Amino acid sequence: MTRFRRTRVALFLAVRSLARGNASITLMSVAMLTAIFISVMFLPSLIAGATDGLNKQVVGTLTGDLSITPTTGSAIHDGTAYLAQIRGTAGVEAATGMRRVGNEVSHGAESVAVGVDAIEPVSYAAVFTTPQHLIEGAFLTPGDKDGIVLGIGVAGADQTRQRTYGSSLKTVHTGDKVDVTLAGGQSHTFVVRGVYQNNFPLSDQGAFITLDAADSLVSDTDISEQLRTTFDALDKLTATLRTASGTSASLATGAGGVASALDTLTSSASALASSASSVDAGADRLASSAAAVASSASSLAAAGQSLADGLQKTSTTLGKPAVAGATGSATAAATAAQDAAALVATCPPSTPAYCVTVGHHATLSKDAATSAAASAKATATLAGAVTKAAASAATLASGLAQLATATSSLSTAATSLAQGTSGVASGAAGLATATDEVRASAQKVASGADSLAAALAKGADVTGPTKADRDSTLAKLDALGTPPGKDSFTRIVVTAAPGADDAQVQTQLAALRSDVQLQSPAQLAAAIQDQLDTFELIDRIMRVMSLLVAAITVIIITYVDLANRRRQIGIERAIGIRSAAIVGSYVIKSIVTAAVGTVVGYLLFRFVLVPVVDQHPFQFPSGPVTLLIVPEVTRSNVVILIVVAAVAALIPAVRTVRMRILDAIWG
Amino acid sequence: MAHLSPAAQPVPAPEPGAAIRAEAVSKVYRLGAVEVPALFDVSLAVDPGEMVCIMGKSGSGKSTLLRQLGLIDLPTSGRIHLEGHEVTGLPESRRARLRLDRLGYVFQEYALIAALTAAENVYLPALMQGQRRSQCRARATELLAQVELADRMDHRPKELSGGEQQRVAIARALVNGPVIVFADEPTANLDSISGRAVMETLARLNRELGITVVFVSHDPDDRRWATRLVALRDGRLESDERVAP
Repeated sequence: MTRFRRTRVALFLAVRSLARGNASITLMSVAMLTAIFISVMFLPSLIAGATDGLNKQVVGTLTGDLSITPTTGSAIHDGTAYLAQIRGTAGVEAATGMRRVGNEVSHGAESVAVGVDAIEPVSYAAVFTTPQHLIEGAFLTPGDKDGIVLGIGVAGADQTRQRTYGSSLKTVHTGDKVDVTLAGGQSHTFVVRGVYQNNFPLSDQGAFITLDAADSLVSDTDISEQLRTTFDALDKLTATLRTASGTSASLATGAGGVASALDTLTSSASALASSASSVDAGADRLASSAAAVASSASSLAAAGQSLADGLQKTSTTLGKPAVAGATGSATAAATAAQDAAALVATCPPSTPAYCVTVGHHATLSKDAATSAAASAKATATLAGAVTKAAASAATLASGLAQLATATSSLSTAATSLAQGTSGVASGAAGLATATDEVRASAQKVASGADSLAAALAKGADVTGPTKADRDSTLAKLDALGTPPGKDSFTRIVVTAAPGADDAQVQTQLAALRSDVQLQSPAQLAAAIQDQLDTFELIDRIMRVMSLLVAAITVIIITYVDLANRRRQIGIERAIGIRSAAIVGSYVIKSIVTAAVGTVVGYLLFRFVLVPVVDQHPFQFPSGPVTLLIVPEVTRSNVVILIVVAAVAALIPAVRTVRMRILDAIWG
Repeated sequence: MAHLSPAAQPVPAPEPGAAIRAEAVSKVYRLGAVEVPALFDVSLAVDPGEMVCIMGKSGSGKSTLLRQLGLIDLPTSGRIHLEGHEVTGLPESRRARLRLDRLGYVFQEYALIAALTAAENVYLPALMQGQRRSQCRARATELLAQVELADRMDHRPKELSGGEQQRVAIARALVNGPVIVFADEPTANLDSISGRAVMETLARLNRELGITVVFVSHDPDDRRWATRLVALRDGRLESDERVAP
């Protein structure tokens, strides 16, 4: 409560004093604090302006919003496709690729060590402001294979007042010819198309030719690129071997299928043998059926042979003859049965004995046809299995030798089967034997395929040098300065779309490719960090000094004011006004004065000084600099100045109220 | 005139007897290494309702005595009792509180705050006491009417004559309902007419409201307003007599 009373009286006295007190002192106080506020604001704004200018220069002429460089080697390969991906990324406004192709420009006796970059003029202009800062000539145009654009720091252009003139070519202008030493060591002559001046030493020390010109000067691929191609081929070979290994495994599975089909054939042959053993007299037509079976076996042999010759070509034909033979056998047997039946039908009612025999013969023939049909079906199954094996084997040439052996055995077996046609029983036995052999061969095929798959997998594992070996080799080549080849960039620079989230854009771009690194301007601005640190130090010193001046000024003003009011203060104390209220009134006055001073100072600074400097910028080595008001700095300056003013008023006020009342009034 | 309300601040209950009493009060000023005695063992008791005139030649110690009684200065020795309570050894904050709540003071000249109007000068102590602004202003209006300055309440001191300024000071001294009003040669810098008006005001307040007044004067004519005359000579009490005004 007491504190509220004191504050109320302090406020009462302060407001009345400000409103009706000595206007000249109040105005002087406001004017001083206005001047101090402006001085406190000036340097931070100048530094902010210089920093902003530097940042704009860095972004506009050096780094863009994002720079992409290779993590290994000196170039980003497959640049065109990558650039298209970048441009298609959300939040990217423009992107351009640059290739460092040279390291020296010379003219007559003068030479300048400078990085010569190959660019695509249209996309470069979309990212960088350099093309807008030509002081003579014109910028490069697409397809220009002889032109070069130089920075003022390289050309000199007779601008003797330039700080970099001494280290430039001094007298080079548009139309002059200069020699560029390329990264590979050879030299090439270009015609100067234009000279630019960014007013930023770091970017004024540059030279540009077109990518078209660069492409015409270097081989399709550089040594590094060739080596990378070799490494890539090795990678692909390894992948192929791994695939072949998988295919061999499939072949083994197919051979297993062949064996299984042969089992079925064996079963069919046994049935045939059983049928044949019961045929005796009417063996002619049965022989025909057996021949068909033999043909079927031959087809199987042929299929085995085809498998040996190259299963990839014979997978279809392997099955067809066998199936056709078996089917033919069945058809022939059926025909024989029909013929017999027809013969029986022609028999006279007396039914001679031969008719009885023929009728029996017809029944047997019908049974044979049934067996042959079963054989045909089994053969078709075999053909399917062989087809599967053939499809699996088709992808691997080296497995064919193993398969040839197997199919040779199959052929032999098939031949035996054919020879067995002289006698149905012996033929069937031969067929069984051949089938066993074929099965054994199929097993060999399967075993061989397994071995081959294992061998291929082993080969795939050991193919090519390790990644560390490759990187080491490529790094050594890069150290030798071999020029990047076509479709490669040493750097890609990206401009983010207005309002885009830079971090999000960076994340999306980082996901596109793993062999590059992305850097923001802040990360690239190390070159100007020393300047920024120096600015910061100067700012701190000047701010402390300005605040000291402010404090001393307020102390003096308050002290003078108090000296004139000492008697009044004595009287106020004599009538019971508390010292805290009196001190508070002076502190409040000082705070109000400081607040008004800062507001007036801000208005003058914002609407007078800043526009004037905008019209007439300061010329710094880094370029023209204007004042930039930083809201955070402004707020802190206002708060600090008001606090300083309050403390500065407190000191003489406390000192005065500590005087004896007698001394204050009558002293 | 309406009775002045008691001070808002709690103060010790008054004891019967003298409004203020000085016991063997001595004062020695120290000017560097030099000691200048101003009062020697002065004892004085002022009863409520008295109008005491402290007289004496220049340098006799009359203003010094007034400052000791008014708690503006500390005696070198002796005691001061206000309404029966010793206040000699109180810290400055307590004495300031007593000056605000229980005492009124009228200075010789230039005693008003230049940035405030007459009314604001009057109600400043009431504001300090914690009264509401409207209440303060009403009290100031009433008091300025008492000193016949109702039409000058919004005037600044520089717009008032010396006599008017002193009457504003009198109104200010009364705003918190003091026990005693001290006046240090209130007419010293005024012409005779203004001086007379000031003294008439003080006498009327004493007579009509019973306010205890202790004033210092070197003008023999001013003794006619007093009910008691105290004379000092060389820092010593020379005489103390009650008189009919």
